[in-house]
This record gives sequence, C-alpha cells and structure tokens, in this order.
Amino acid sequence: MSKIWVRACATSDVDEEDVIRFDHAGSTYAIYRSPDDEFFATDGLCTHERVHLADGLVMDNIVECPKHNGRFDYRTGAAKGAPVCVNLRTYATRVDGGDVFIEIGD
Amino acid sequence: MLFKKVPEKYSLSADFSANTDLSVAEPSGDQTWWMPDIKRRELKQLMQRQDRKPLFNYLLWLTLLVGTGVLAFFTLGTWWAVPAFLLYGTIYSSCDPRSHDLGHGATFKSRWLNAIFCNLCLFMTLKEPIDWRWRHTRHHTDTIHVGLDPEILVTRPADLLRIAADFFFIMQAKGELKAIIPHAFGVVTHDASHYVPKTEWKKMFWSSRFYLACILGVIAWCVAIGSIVPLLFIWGPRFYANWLNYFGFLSQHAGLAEDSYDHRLNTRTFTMNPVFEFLYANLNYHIEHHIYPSIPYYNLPVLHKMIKEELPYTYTGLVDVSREVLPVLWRQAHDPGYFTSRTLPPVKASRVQPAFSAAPAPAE
Repeated sequence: MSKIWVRACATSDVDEEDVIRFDHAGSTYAIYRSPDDEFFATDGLCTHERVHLADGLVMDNIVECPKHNGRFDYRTGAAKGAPVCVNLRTYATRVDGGDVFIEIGD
Repeated sequence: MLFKKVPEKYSLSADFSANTDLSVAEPSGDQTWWMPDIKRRELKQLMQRQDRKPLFNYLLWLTLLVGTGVLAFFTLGTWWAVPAFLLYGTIYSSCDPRSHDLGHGATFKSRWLNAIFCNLCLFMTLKEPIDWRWRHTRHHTDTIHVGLDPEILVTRPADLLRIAADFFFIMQAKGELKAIIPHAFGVVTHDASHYVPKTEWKKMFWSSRFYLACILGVIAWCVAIGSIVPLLFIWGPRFYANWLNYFGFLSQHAGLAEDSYDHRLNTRTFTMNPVFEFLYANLNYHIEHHIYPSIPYYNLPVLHKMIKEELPYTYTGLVDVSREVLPVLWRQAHDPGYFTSRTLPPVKASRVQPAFSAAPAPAE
C-alpha cells in the first residue's frame, strides 16, 4: 500500500495542547495540537498495554497514557521511560484549508 | 506452617507488559472497565498538575516528621517515648500512601520533584522502585483479578493470622524482602519474571543491591552501638505504627468482588477527617484513583463530588468501613465464596467508553 493523505479532522476539533482520537480503515490514531499550534499524529494506542492515548493528558510536547502514566514525546514518538519502553509510530501531518491531514500507509 | 498457603490460582501465570520482551503483548482481557460520565474538558482540568500545592503539603509533612522525630529522640529512656514514637511513626508511615500517587507520576508538575519524593517515600516504606512500579502497573490493569493482579492483599479463604500480622506490616515487609534479597543476587522471583521486562532486570538488580546494602548497614549500626534506636527511626515505624495504613489498605479492596470490570464493585471509597486524609494522601478516594490514575491526589475529592451520584455508598470513616470489612474477612476465612456485593445506583448517564479497553491494534 502506498502512502496516502487522509483527512483526520478540522483544526478546530482539537484544542491547543490536547489530543483527539481518529479511526480510519480499522486503525486508530491520535491527533495532537501542540502549544505552538502545530499538529502531530501518532498511533492511537499506547505501546505498553494498548490504551487509547486520546484519553490521556497532553503537557507541552508530552502525552501521558491515562492508565499507567507512560509518557511519549508525540512529536517524535519517543518513549520517555517505564512503563513504556517502545516508541510510538508517528505520521506526517499537514493543514489545508482548516483541515488536518495525516499521511498513512507503507 | 504458621500461615495458610495462598491458593495456587492466585499465582501469576501469564506474562504481561506489551512493550517488552515478555511473551504476551496484550491486555489480559477484552473487557472494558466501567467509566463515569465526565466531560473531556473537565477531565483535563482535573488531570492538571502543579508544584506549589503538593510542595507545601510535602514540606509540611517533612517538617512534622523531623519535629516529632526530635521529640521522640529526647523522650528515649522514658515512658513518654511510647506516645512520642507512635506519633512519629504514624507520620513516618504516611510515606507509603504518598509513594502511591508519586509512583504514578501524578503528584508534581515537575518530573524531578516527583522523582525525588517518590524515591524517598518508597525507600522509607521498604519498596524497591523497579519491582514495585511494574507490579503496581499490573494491579491497575487487572485490579483484583485472580492470577493477574499481584497485589491482592486478602486472598480467599482469608488467612486471619496473615491479615492480623499485617497490622505490624509483617507480611508486606516479608514480601518486599523476599524480592529484594534474590534480586540483589541477580535471581528474578517468579512473580517479577511475569511482570518486569528483561530490559529492566539489570536496573532492578542494582536498585535491590542498594536497598540490601542500606538494610544491612542500618542493622550493622544497631549491632555496633548495641541499640535498636536507628531502626526505631528508619523502617521500624512501618512496623510499630502501621495502624492507619493497615485499616486504610484493608478498606481499599478486601472482601469485595474478584474478577470484576467495575471498580465500584471491587474497590471502596471512604472519607476521613482532614488529618487522616493528609496522612493518607487522599488514597481513601480509591475508586476515583483507580478510574483515573492520572488525576493528582489533591483533585480526587473534586472528582468524587462530580461523580458521586454514580458511585455506591461512600463510607464515612475508618470505623464505618471496618464495620463492613472485618466481619466479611471473618466469614471469608470459612466461606471462600462469600464477598460483599455492593449496591450500585441506578444507571443514569453512565456510559462505557473504550478508553481502557483492549482496542484493536493499529494496522501495520
């Protein structure tokens, strides 16, 4: 499967320093809006025990899993310590006409 | 044998922890935990951490600890030492419930403050941080699920002698030492092998060596001076002044349903006077803590007010909750099938959300 751009949400759907869930084609993603008004996208489930990160807390560039408090840098997907050890997969994003798109596929 | 053998079914039998080298990379079930009806914006506000409020709380606690410690020291050799050490020990033992919220990283906004106080409190309560952190993670994933939760305090049939011994922290300390000692020698315990990933083992070994060296150091100090006074100040309080934590921890889950996916059925919330809640770090709002472990201890009472209509009866103190817990444990000693079935309020706006469920994995 080649890479395609998919509309995830409107920019207004995500508050600053917050995250929402986006499901597409049987997969779930997390769409973030940073305090600097940039958009980022990662896999939607924590790599620890597959909890939806969209229910977690966003602090600056960190998202914290709501169940076990594992933390990731959502810009890079980097795991920031136990109980998360495996990085999150990230996806390119772009904003076009008030909509947020993410690039998915191989 | 002095204590009853814990039934085999309570032994951990499956690997966990998805992001590790452990073989099972899934949450243990497809069930979904009950969640209250609360708006995202309200939840976000409740999850916000700060430094000032908890720092004031912790500095007050440490001041009280030092103050009562000095008082206790000067009463040594008199009968006044009994109440003085009981007071010091009660304040000291607050380290255990405090380590709980700190362990979740939910107390302070600044990570370094959280790390300092977390390690201090865990050290004071004799809990090695690496083992405890992973073990406690399991407790939050599968709260009171037989064979999955390594922190079930009262197994069935209830062993009354074991329960009584924990009034003096004996069984819990034994459990901690049974992990610290082999881990210090590079041997991973059966339970830890099921929840601590191999990538963390080296760290756990060195941390356990540090703990063991400190324990032996304090014992050697006592032997050298021919006195147990050092132990009266460090770790000893967990044994001789565990009363508040004992009744608090028994009240959290003991005697309630096993294998439920509703924290309202396997966990209790109870209120206490402000002094006890200060010492217990609001861990008495235990249903709320289990539903949202990301919410700092100082916001748990706020959450309680917001969702109390969806919760079962809130006990009004340790006496109130003990009136239920102690007779249930007595009965469970002879009738392992018995448990307290809690009455839930009629379903109103409550909903089930997929937040903590075993959701489908993203496509590769």
